Amino acid sequence: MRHDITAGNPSAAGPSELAERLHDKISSVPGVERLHPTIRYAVASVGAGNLRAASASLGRILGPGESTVDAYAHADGIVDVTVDISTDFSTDALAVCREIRRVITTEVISAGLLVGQIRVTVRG
Amino acid sequence: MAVDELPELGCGRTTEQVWAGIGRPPDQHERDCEYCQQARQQLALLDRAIRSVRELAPQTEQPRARVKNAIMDIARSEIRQGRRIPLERPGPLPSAGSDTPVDDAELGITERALIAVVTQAADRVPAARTRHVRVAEATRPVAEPEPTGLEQEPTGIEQEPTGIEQEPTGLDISITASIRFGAGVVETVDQLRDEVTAAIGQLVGITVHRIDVVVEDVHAS
Repeated sequence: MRHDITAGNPSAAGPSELAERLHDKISSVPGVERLHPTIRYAVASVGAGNLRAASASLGRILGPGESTVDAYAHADGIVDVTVDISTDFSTDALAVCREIRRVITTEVISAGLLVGQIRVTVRG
Repeated sequence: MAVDELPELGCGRTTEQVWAGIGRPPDQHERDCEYCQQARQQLALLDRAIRSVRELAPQTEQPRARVKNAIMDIARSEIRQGRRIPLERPGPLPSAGSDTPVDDAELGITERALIAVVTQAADRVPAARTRHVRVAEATRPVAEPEPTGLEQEPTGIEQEPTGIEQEPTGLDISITASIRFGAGVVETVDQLRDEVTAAIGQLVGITVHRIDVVVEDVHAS
């Protein structure tokens, strides 16, 4: 069983804080220009009978400079993280992705959770 | 947004046109067009995701137009990105919940991002104007087993491919360009290859397997 810890899940206050912290930390990795919403995040936001929240949430993530991290916690405390980014053209994209992976790993572990799958994609 | 303003795939069709055909067999164009095939593949995933959400939450009210538009904006954006190419190959999977999960990470880059890197590098060649760039992951069949001497004699009937496993060998890049009148074609093409190879190596870290350059025009200086 999986819990959406990204948005629209008010009962998961702790993991939601983790998602927000990941967003802030990843945004400040040198070379990261912005984070992009993923289609999985969008569809997940519409589910769970939470359309009003989803509408506000989608409006927020589609706004300029706003985005989010797609993070899911399994029932056993393992967290999968998916993030799509744009990078500065003058930086090494692989090095940026590796740094993001390191940041995600550190933040998830420091939140007392277990790291599952991390998926980082550079978009154009 | 007017229909003629909708973003187009590489073949000229819009995402909406392809979306309208999800649920029916591909038409003749879609069967032959790699852009449409890829878009159909991704939109079919979206269609399944939406259906599963509806099945899980049948009482959920219909999403408002703003929500639908937001999802379609993200879908269009994702489809325009093209395929995802791994930046590094994942190693063996760790045990679930390991504190050292680095081998379970998938780091990748989209074709569109790679095209941007290639285009920017090619634009550094003063005598060339880049018009079209395509990138694809190059693969080769995984090494076949050593012959045992017990193989059957050829029957003269060509065998159908049996889904031979492929392994990646790097990037295949195709560039269409115009070259300034008076510039040496061979030298300019060599410069294009050098710039692109260096940029991909430094900024992305993927091996360049092949660069095809087509000079389709000459322009005045």
